[in-house]
Amino acid sequence: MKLRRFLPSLIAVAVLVPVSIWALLTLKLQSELVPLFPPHLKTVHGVQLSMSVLSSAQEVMLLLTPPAATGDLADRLERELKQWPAVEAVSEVGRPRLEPLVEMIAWGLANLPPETFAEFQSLYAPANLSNRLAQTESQLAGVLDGRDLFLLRFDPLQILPWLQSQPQAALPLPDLANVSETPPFILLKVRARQPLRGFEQCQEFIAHLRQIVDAVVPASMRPAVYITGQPAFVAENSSQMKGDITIMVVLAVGLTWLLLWVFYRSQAALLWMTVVLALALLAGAVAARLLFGELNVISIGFASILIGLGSDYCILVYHFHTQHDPALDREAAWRTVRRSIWLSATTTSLAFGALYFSSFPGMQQLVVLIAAGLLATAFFATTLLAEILRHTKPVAPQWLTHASDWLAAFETRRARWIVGVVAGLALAAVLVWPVARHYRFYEPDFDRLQPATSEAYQGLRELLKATQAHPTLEVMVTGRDLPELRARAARVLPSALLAPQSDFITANRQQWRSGHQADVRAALETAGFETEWGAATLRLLDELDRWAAGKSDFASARLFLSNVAESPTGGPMALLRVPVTNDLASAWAEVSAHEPSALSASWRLMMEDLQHRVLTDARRLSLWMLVAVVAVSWWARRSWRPVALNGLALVLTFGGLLAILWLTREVMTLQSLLTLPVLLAVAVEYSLYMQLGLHAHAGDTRLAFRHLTVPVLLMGLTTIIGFGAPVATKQPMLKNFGMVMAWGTFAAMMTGLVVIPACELFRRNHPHHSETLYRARWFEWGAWLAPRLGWSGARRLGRWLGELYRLTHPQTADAVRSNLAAVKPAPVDEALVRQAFRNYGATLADYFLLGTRPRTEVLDMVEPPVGLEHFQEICGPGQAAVIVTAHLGLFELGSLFTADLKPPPLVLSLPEPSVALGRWRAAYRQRWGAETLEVGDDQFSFVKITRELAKGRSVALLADRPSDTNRVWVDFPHGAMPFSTGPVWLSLLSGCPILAVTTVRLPSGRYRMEAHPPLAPKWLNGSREETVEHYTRQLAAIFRKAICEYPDQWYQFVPLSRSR
Amino acid sequence: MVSICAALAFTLTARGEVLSAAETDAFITAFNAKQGATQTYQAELTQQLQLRGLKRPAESRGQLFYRAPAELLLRYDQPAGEFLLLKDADVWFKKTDRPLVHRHQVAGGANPGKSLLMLFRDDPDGVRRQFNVTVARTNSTLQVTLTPKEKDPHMRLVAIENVVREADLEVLSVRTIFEGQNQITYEFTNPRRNAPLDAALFAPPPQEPLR
Repeated sequence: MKLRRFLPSLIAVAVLVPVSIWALLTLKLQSELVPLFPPHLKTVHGVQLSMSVLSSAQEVMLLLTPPAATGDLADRLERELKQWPAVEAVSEVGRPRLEPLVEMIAWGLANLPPETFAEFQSLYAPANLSNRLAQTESQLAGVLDGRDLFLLRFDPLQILPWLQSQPQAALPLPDLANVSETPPFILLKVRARQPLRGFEQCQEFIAHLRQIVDAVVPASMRPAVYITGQPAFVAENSSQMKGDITIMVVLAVGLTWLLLWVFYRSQAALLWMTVVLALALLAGAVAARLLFGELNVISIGFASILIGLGSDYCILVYHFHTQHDPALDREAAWRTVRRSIWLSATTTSLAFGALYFSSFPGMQQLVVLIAAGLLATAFFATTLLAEILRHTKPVAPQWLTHASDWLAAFETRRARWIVGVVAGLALAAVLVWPVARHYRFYEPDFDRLQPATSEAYQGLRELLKATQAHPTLEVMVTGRDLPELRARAARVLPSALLAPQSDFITANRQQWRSGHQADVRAALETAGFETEWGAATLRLLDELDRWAAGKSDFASARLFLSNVAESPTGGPMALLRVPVTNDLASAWAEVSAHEPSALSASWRLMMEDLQHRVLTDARRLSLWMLVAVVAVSWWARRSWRPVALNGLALVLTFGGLLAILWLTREVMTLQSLLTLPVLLAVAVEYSLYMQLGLHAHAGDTRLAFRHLTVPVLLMGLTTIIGFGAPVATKQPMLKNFGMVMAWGTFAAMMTGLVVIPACELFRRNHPHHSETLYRARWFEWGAWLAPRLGWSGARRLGRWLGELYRLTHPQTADAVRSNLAAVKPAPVDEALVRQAFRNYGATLADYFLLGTRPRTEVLDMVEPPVGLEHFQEICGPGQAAVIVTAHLGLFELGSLFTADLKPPPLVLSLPEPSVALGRWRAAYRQRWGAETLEVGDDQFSFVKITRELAKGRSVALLADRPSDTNRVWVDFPHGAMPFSTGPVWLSLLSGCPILAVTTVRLPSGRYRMEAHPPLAPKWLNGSREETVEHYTRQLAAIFRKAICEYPDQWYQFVPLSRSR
Repeated sequence: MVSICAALAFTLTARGEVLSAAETDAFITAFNAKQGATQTYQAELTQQLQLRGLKRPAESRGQLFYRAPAELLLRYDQPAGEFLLLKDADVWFKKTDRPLVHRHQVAGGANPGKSLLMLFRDDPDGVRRQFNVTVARTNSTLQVTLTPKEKDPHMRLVAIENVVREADLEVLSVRTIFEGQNQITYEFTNPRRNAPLDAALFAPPPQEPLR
């Protein structure tokens, strides 16, 4: 084991582990939700303010509905709750309990403006008392309404109507007319002594509260008791999430483990992957500690994305090391795998990195976690894991290879068909779009996200139903001092009572004159009311007297009805509840028009605002994400082709997702929008792997698929498992997230595995020549024009047309460039590429001209041939040879020298694109005495050729453009090129020697032909393949020398080379 | 509770001869037939409200108008200008110095005048389903007492006592007794049945801001 190879990763581990321990020890875990939202949003700021100082964050509601809505049960619960030290106070709504009601009214009165309070006090002057009671008596006649009667009996002096008619005096009193001894519900408001801010605090408080409820309420009645309110929601959601995360982790790890075992039958695979992913998570934690100092638990939860994506790299590395194909250039293949992983990590990190500039602090944390983690995974997977696997040499089951080969064969055979199907589907999608566009793929309705089994949610619904309450909008108003606060609050809600207002309380306490009770009693007696009618009034006066005497401070009412507090920045602030008549948004628009400084404290409005923000951010950032994807895709091969293919992968993935959503009638929720950048990364990742793999294996589809099919399939399946696991949870939000991600990944996987390779292969199977120019008609025109222009004119025109062809066919130029890269050091001189095209044009001009000239004139254009003796030596009567040449110079000129052979040789040619062209070219060769035999790449052709050889007829063929299956890679100075094994096989099977012929044009314009010493292959010891490979390399060496000497005459327009 | 029982005992002892079940059925059938045949009805009305702790009952006067199948108007002269209109499931009422109130009744909900409309429109089975019916004969009148079979937490109704003249089954008074010694009594004089009534009487009043 070479320690040197392990050194970089070991150093990294040695640094990372202690630093991450420090980071984990000092990292502050945050469990609140609101800090994840953009703080500059007014709605977020409003909610944050209201939560920081006002009561709702520490108030839990206990709703008793029939049959549990009994006074006895409520009293016992109240007693028990008050004994719990964590509870500061309990308030009850639902029963006509005089004491709390009177205290609430007295608290409201104490906070009145002093002049209004003075008016209130004047109501108890004897004359006023008589008048008001007479008015009450008159109201008992005529139309009778039970509600009015109840209120008159409770408040015969009609203090409450007077109070509610005063500006800034509206008390949030319960509907007194609807309370009864057997109420439809009883609501106990439980106020915690400390604010319940974090998940854990809420969970602990609610759990203890539930214990008390269970101890007091009989089991049969417990379903009628609901615990609700903000802390109950927080506790329920967080504990639900804890359970859900456990389910998700167990399911994801279990299924992934099972999957890896099914594929590789190796537990070591998962072990090493776990180690790498753990290191990646530590790296993410270090980055978060350095950048933020804290992490939210929700960001940590979503960091499972990192595990999903990171394990992909490990699978790629692991699978590579299970491949032991002798035909594989391991170093080159490893370079490709490593490059793919780093490209993918960079693309995904950049795509996610764009989200750093979103408005959400939570998103920024997530981005840093994932980006740092992914880059760390890429590093450890390509160093530590690779080195470990290099030594452990894992083995993949044979069936994986068979399955990959089958898919490779299917893709090769059906590439055109697959592309056609995809095009058809795209067309169908366009046709269906006018119908499908009306479907709501995205549904922001928050009610969909509420779990049906949520007790807190059910409790809230029951409460709204029982109280028939109208919705209200919570608004925060701030001011530098109390007068400013009052002015602003009055503009928002003129009737709102602000409490406590210390200056008013002080003034009112001073002006209150005790002892109005005797006057009230006398007035009641006089007016014909017994004293019981004035019970509440007298109790109110007692309470105010006690307050004036300093014996009462309205402790309970103060806790539950206070809506004014000191803001964190100094100065008072108030929470107002504005009735909503139409909808929340229009109510808020009205409020902000009246008081621009007001802040909404409504969760619903905040969530709607966040939703708009998410969409705005998505629009803004998706552009940057796409730029990142385009840049990296281009950089991968310095070509726009991968960019286009990745674009296609994205379109198909998102199109596929939308189609599945439409067909299954599912929708995406706000949280599911998070999947879009992840899906973008996944789609590009799979597409890039397949493209780079196919490119690196230079068209060897079988080898490329052996390397990529299983990893991409596994990556897809593990991602589906990882992200699909939330479907098993109880949270609608998580279920939807999992469902969208699973379907999206499925679409991305199918696109990467099936469509992208088909597009690549479709291009390769596509003729390498121009379908417009490579036609018999152009050849006829060329043959007609060339003699008219003469040598010089025809060559000049040919060069110019060659140049034009290069400019108009960049893909062909790319092919020439990549092939020349095997001959010349990179980057290939563009002048050389240009010269190759110019020479090709001039050679074509010669080709057309030579065909029209008599043989003697043609021979004048050729230098005396070299190696003619080899022809004479091996091509005697009855003796045949396999004459081999390459796409170098005017290779057709070889026919001139074989024309003397008896019988004339057969020039082997692949079928031309049209019969007319085939005939034209055959006739052209016939003029020089050579016959043409069109053959395919099949065994029948092979038999046919060997028969001709056996008859003593030589055959001529090209060897440097082999098929995918019959070839050998031959080293060139800066790469490798494939050469056909066909000539050697023919020679070995027929016993005919091989004669290599090269034809190049000299600077003088004349051609030099050379017949090289013949090769006579014999079966060697070892396998047949080894013999074929040996002689093919010998044969290729001849052409390699000529190609390297005349690279600008090598007309190889198909990308074949493999970089080193 | 003791006071409620005492009141009931007093009421029952004052009733006189209680009709047998068969006689009660016969009375109900005959009464329903008369009420069912009534397309319009109008009478002078005296309303008396007695509440616990209120030394003097509150008295009001006015007219009652009914039109089949479910329209009823109480128009008060004292206090003047107040009215109550029931029309199917809607109720409008106006009190002096108060805005007009319009409510859409829900089934089982408590609304002013409901017990009066019940006199005319409820089917016999409906009354029997909800109430135990007792009929007692006193001189020339029948005292029909309806006691609810189930306690209604909103209405808190104890009983409805109707006094009917035996000769022509004309309703003389309706007394609704609630828990807590509270009761409302309506007395009718000069009844006229099936005389033409101006349809405008039952027209919904012009809209005012909801209360």
